[in-house]
Amino acid sequence: MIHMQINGQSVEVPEGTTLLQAAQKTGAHIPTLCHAPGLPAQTSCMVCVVEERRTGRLVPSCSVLAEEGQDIWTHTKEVHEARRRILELLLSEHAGDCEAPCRRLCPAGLNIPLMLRCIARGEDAEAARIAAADLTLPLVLGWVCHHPCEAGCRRKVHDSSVAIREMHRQAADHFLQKEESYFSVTASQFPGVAVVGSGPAGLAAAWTLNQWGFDVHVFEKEARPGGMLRAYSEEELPGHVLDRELAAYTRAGIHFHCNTHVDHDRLQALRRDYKALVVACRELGEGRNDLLCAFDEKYPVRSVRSGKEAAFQVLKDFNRDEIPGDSAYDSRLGRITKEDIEHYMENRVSPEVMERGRTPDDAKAEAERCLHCDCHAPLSCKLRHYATEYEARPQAWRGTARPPVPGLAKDGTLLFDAGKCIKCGLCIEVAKSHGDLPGLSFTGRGFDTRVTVPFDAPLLKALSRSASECVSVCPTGALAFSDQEEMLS
Amino acid sequence: MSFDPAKVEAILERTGRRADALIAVLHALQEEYQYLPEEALQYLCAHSEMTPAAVESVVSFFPGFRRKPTGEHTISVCDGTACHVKGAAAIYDAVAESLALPPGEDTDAEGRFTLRKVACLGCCTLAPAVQIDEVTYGHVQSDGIDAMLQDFLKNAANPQQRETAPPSESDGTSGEIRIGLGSCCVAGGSEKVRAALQKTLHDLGSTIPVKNVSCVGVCHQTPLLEIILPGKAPALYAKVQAEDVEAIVARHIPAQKKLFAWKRKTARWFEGLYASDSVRKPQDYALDVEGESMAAFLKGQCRLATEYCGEINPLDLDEYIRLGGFSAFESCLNALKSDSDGNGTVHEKIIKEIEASGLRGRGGAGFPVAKKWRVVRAARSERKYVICNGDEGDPGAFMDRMILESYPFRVIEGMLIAALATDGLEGIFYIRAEYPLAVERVTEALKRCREAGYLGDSICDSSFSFQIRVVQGAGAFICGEETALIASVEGRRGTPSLRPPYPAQKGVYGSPTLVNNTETLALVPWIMRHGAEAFSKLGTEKSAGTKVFSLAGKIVRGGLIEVPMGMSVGAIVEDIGGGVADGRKLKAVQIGGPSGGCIPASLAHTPVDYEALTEAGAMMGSGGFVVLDESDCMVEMTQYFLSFTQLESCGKCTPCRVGSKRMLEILDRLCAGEGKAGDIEQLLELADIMKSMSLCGLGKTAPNPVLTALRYFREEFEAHINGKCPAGKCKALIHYYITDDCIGCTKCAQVCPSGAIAMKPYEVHHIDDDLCVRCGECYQICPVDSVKVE
Repeated sequence: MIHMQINGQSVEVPEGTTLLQAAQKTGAHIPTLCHAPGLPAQTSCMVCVVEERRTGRLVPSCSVLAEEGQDIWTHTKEVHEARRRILELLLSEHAGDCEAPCRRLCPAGLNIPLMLRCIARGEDAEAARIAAADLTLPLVLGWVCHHPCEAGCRRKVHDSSVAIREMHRQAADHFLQKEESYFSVTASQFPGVAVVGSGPAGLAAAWTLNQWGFDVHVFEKEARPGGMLRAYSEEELPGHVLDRELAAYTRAGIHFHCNTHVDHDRLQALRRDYKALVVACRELGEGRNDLLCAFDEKYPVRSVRSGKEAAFQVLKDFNRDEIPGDSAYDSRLGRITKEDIEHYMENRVSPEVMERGRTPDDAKAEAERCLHCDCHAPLSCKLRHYATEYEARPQAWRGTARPPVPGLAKDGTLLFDAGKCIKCGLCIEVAKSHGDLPGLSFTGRGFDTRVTVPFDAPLLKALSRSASECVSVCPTGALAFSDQEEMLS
Repeated sequence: MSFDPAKVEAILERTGRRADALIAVLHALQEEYQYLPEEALQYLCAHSEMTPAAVESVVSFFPGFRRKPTGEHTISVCDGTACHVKGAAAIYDAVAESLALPPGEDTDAEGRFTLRKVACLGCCTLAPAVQIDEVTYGHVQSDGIDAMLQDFLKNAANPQQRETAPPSESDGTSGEIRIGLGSCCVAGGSEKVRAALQKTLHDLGSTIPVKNVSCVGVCHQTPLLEIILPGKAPALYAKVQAEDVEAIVARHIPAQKKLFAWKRKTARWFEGLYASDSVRKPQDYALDVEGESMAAFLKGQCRLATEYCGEINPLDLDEYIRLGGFSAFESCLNALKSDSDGNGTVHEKIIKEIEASGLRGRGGAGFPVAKKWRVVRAARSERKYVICNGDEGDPGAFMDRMILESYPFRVIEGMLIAALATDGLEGIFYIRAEYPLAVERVTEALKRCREAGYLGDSICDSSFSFQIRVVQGAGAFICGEETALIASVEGRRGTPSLRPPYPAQKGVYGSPTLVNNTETLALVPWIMRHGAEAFSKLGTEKSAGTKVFSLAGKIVRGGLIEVPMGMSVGAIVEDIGGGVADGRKLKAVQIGGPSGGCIPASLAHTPVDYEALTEAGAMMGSGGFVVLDESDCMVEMTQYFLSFTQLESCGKCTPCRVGSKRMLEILDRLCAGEGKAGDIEQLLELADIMKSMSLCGLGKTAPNPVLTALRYFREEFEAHINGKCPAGKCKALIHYYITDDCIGCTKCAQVCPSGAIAMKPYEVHHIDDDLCVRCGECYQICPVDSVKVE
C-alpha cells in the first residue's frame, strides 16, 4: 500500500493507483476530458493537472501513478489557473457554436433551433410549449416582435432566414385553437407574489413566476390587462389575439386584478401582504432602488426579457438555485462568409431544402430549413461544463484568426463535427476495443491532427459496433446522433 | 508506374507482415513508386497485420511519406538554421519561380521536379544548401537556380556511380591520396574530384592508392584533398574542383608514362602563354595545415568521438582495429569470459567506469549515462534493447550524421559495450532518412562486423549475443524524443508518452530499452580504452569530456568541431571559428537549436557546459552552434524556431499542439508589423503553459528560444510592436532605397526579381517601393553600398 497526502488529507491506496483515482477516494473532483474509465490513458488534454507540492510541478493526474509520500494538491489557485488556461487553449480552436446565433440574438432567449426541430418532426405541441416557456407571449410576439433572431440566421447568407417569428406564431396559434393553456395548471407551491402592471414586462414576470409555482396576482389600473400591447392597431395586433393569449394566462392560474390603481399607499400594502413584489409600471418604479422593477421598452420582446429577469431575481431571493441562467459558457463560431456557407451547410440540411422553394405557410417545410447551428451536446459537453466552472475567457487569445469553418460528416444519424473535436482519441480507442474495422484514426500531425475514417470509409460502417459508445464517450458534441435531443429529455 | 501487387507482395515477403514492419514497408514502397499509391496501401491492409487505421495514421504523420506522385526529381531546399540565416527562404522562392509552380502545387507542370523544404540537410557549412535527388549543391544563390537545374539535368543524364564500399588499399608505404567523402565534401563535389583523380592517376600510370576518409571537419573548405607521400610533408588542398585535379597531382607525382609526360609538358607550355592572374594556380588551393588559420581551427580542439578525423577510412574495419578499435569491447568480453560464476561483476565494472568518467548524455538533457545503464541493467527481462538515437533533427546540427558516416564502427563498438553492460539482446540504429549516406555506411559496417564475428550469437565464443538492425526515420523531429522514437520503431505514429515509466524500464514492446545518443555511444570505447580518469580530466567538474558542435552561420571557418567542455562560447567563435564573417559584429550565438536559446555577445564568456548553458537560458541540445551577426533579427529568429517546433509538434497534448500555434501566430504578427501592446505578455504566458504542462521535452523546451530572446533582446520585440525592425530583416517593416552615391552600374536593376528598379545606365537608380519584394538582392550586389535599408 502507498501512503500519500491529497489536499492535506492522508490516503492509503494500492500500488498502481493513479493520482486521479486516489483523489476520487478523498472526494476531490478533478476535471477530465481525455480520460474515460476502462480505456487506456490518453494523457493529451492536460485538464486534469494537479500540483505535486514537493517538486512544485503540475502533473496529469489521469496517468501519473501514486507514490509513497507524495503531497498532492488538486484545487490550489495555481492549479485552477492552469486548468483555465488549458481550457482556453482548447476553446481557441473550437470551431463551433454552443448556442445558435438566432437564440443568442433573441432578448427572451427562445430556444429557436429546438422549437424548429420539434416543428420539423411534427411535434407541434412541444414546439408551442418551448415557445411559451421562453417567450412567455409566443402568440403576441408572433405578431409584433421585431424578430432580431432572423437577422442572425446563418441561412440568410445562403438564401434567406428561416421565418422564425412566423413559426412560433403558427405554433402558438394552432396550439391555442385546440388547448386552453400551454401547460397544465399546477397548484401553487409557493407564497403569493404581486405584479404591478400588465404590459409585456409585467406579463412576462407573472408568467415566469407562475411557471415556477408561485401564486401570482397582477394589478392593472385599466379595465383589461395588456398595458401598452393595447396600443397596437388592429392590423398590427388584433385584439382577439391578445385576448386569447391572456386567456391562457388566466387558465394557468394567474389572477388579474383590473381597475386597480396602485398608489404609494397601496404599494406599501402589497409589500406587506405578499411575499414578493414586482413593479412593472414606470411611473411607480422609476428611480426606486428599493423595489424590484421590470419596465416596458420600445420592443415588446425586450420588455419580456426585463420581466423575466425580475422573475429570476424573485426566484433567487427564495434561494432556488435551479435558475435557468444563460451563464453557461458559449463558444461562438463567428460570422460565416458567403464563400464558406455552402461548405458549412453540407450534411446539416437535406438536399431538398438547400434552396428556399416553399413559402413559410408550410410550417414543417420551413422549419426543416434550420441548419441546427447549435450544439448537439449542449448539456453533456464536458468542455462547456468546465469552461463555465473554471470561468474560461472566450477571447483569451485575441487576434487569433477564427478557425476555418468545419464541414459536417454524416452517415445515417451519426454525425461528426470535426470543428468541435478536441483530439482526445477516446473514440479511436473505443472503436479499437470493439474490433471495428476500419474504425477511426488520427491523421496528420501537430496542430493539423484530425480524427478521420481511414480510406474515407462511411462513418457508420467504420463504427458499426461502437458508434453509440463512441458518442457517449466523446467529451464534446463532436460525435453525436442527429436525432438526439438533450434539451428535451 | 502502374500498381503491381507482386511488387508489394515481394516487399511484404522481405519485411514481414507484422504490424511493426509498417514504416519499413512504407519506405520500400516509396522507393519503388516514389510515392505511396492508394492501391498499394489498400493491398497492404488486406494482406498483412497492418490495419487501415494504422496505415492512414502513420503515413500522414511522417512528412517523409507522400500520397501524391512526385516529379521525376525531388528538389529539397534546406531550411536548417544555418541555411535560414543565409537566405534559404529566398532560395525556395527562387526555385519555385524558376519552375513556374502553380500556386498550391509542389510539382512543375511537366512533372520533372518536385520542390520541398527539409528541416536540415546537415550541410550547414555549405549554406544555403539544396539537394536534388542525391546531389547536393552548396552556397546556392537565388540568381543561380537555372544554372543549378541545368547542371543537374546534364549530370543526371550520365550519372556517376558512387562507390559504396571502397576497398582498403593503403599499406602505408607508398603514400596515399586522401579524399573526404563526408556529406559536406560530397556536396562540395568530391565525387567528381575522386573520379578525376582516378582518371589522372591511371593516365599517369601511378599506383598510389586513393583513400576515402571520414569527414575532416573543415567543412567550410570542402572538397578536401590530401596528398601524403613518404618522406614528404602532407599537402592539403581545399575547395578542389575536378578540373584542377590534374594540375594538383602534377605538383607531386611524376608521370610514369612517356607519352603523358610529353603531353603535359606541351600543355604547360601553352598554359604559360595564356596564363593570367585570373587563372587559379594549383598552389592557390594549398591549405597549409601549419598555417595560421588552419592551426587556429584545429588548435583547442580535442578529438575523442571524432578521433582520427580525416585520416580513417569509415568502412575499413582492419584499419579501425589497427588503430585500437574493438580493443575496449574485447577486453570487456574477455572479462566476461573469465567471470565464471557470472554474478555480473563485469557489468558493474563497466558501469562504474562510465560513472567515474562522468559521461552525460549528449542528446541534449545531459542525463548521467551510467545512471540510465544501471536502471536498464536492474530491470528484469528476457529481452532488452539498445537503441542508438541517430534521429538528429535539429536544424543546424549535423554531428550525428558526421559520426555515423565517418565512424560507424566506433558507434557499433559503443553499442556493444552498452549492451554487454546492460544485458542487451538486440540493437537498433534509428537513423534519419534524410541521411542516406549514414544509413548506407552503417548498414555496410554492420555487415562487416557480422562477417568479422563482432555481431551475432556467442560473440567471440562468449556467452554474449547481440544483433543490430537499422531502422529509418521518416522526417519527424519528434522521433528524437525517446518515447516517440520507440513508438515509431513499433510501427506507430511518433507520439511521445508520459514518463515514467521510462524506456529504461518499459521501452520497445514493453521491454527495458536503453536509448543513447550517437555521440554518447561514440565516446564509450574511448573511455573504456583510456580509462575514466582521462575523460573526466577533460571538461568541467559537472560536464566531463568533450562535446561535438556543428559550427555554422555567420562565421569565417565553419565545420564540425570537438572541444573540451568548459571552453567559452566566445573562444569557439573567435579562436576556432575565426570570428564573425564579413567583418560584422557578433550579436548572439544560438545553441541547442529549437530547444535551446540565444547567448548574447555580452555573455560570450559563458562556458559550454550543461549547467552554465541552462542557466543562461539556452541548452546544450544536441550541439548546433549557429553564429548570428548584427544583421540578424532576433524576433525573426525566434519566429523561425517556433515555426519549426510548431510544425514538428506531434499534436498530442494541448499545451504544445495549441500553445505553439498561438505563440507562432503572435510572432508572425510581430514580424509582419502587426504586433500589439500585450503581445509580449501573451508570449510569456504561453511559454509558461507550454513549459509547465507539455507532455514531452519538445513542448517543454520549445519556448526556450522565445524566453531567451525576450530576456536579452526584449527591446527588439518592443520595436516590432512599434513597427520597426532594428536589424532591417523583417520584410513588412523595412524599405530599401538608393542614395546619391549610386554610380549607375545597373547591377541592382539586373538582379531585381520584381522589376522594381528601372535600368538607367550612369544615372542614379531608384527603387519602386510598391513593386519591391524586399529580397535584398540589390543590397547585396551594390558595389558602392548605395542601397540602404531602413
